[in-house]
Amino acid sequence: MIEVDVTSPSPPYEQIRAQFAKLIKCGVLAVGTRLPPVRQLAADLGLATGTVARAYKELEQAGYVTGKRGGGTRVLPQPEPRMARAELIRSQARAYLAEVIRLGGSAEEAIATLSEVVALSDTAAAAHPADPDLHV
Amino acid sequence: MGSVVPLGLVALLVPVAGLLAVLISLNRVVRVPVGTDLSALRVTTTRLFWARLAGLVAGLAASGLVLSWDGLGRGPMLAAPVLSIGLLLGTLAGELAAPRPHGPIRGASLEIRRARDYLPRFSAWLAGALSLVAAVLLSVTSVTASADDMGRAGRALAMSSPDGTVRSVTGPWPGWFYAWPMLAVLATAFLLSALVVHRVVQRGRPGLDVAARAVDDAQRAHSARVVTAAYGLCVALPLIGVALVAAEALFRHSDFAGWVAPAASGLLGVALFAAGSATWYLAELLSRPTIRPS
Repeated sequence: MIEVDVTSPSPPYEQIRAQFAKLIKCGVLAVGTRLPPVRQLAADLGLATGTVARAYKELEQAGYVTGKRGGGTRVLPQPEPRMARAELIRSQARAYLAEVIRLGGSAEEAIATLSEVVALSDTAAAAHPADPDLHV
Repeated sequence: MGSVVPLGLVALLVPVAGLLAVLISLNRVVRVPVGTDLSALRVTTTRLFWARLAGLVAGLAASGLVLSWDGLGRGPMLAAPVLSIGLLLGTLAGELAAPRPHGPIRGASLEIRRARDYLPRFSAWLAGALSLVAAVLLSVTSVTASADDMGRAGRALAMSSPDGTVRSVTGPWPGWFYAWPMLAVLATAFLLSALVVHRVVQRGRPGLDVAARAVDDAQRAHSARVVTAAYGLCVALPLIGVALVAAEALFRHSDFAGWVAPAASGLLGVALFAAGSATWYLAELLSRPTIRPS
């Protein structure tokens, strides 16, 4: 899943590039995996095609992917040691904890807030029951 | 040309298609867990429905105008394809009107959507077979056609008896006079269908959970089914008329050569194949998948 925050100071193409780079580095996207077509990803994110194309171009220049006409954009083998997925999650958790402490909170408060957010997202899903019969 | 299609056949095929549509709809139920948020898809569903309906109405109006064109049978032959093109344009308008992902935070999955994920395999294969049959039949009838008594090229079939003493010219015969407008309309419909399917696949999909994505997939598959059905009807309905008219002309010449009667019977088989296909496509067009919480 790729997420873009259009209000973020970081431009959307950079957010896309960084997320793909991370997914490739930690092996979530294996060697040879095809990235979504530029137009499709741009349409799904509601962005201009050029924005996604720029992100792909930068990934290609950095040696993460290779783009061939007709063959799509595929992940290249990485020379550096693969970052473990668990290590990546740990580093995100460390960043979150550091932010909570910076705001004057504690580790317990960080865990409690995280549990609260999980419970809230479960409740939100239950609050929107599907239509009894929705024709498509 | 289409006016020769017996009304009795149409009266029989429409209820069969309706019954088939009910059976297909009963088998196309997408079950989603209770609690799935489908609000994001409801707007798309509504817009697709109204745009298709508008396309159908516009197609009906246009086919009404085309029906009375030239008085030599080309109008009725093109009426059904024009109606199908209206439906295709309506579907395209609906796909283009689907809301784009918006909001400050937008998500997208890493899936790769392809046309073959959504196109109904059997219907697409059948449409290909019908197109091939139509192209071959019209090519043969064009090559064998002669000018009619008014000098209109490619509108009659002329045959001589084996001893060369008797020559008979009969019409109408679906030669180049009929083939070029039909092939032009079929090519237009094919290109338009490809464009709509491309749009169905490429239309933006906001970050959805698994259940909502299944509903979105069902929505796209239904659009692809409408496109295939509209194109299939576009080929099948005029093909019935072309095959029947050609068979009728050949039967009138059955004394001239031994192969004529079997060829005419073969054309009746083509008409039957096209009629069966048209029934299937009509059923596909009338059917709708249902989403039910489980």
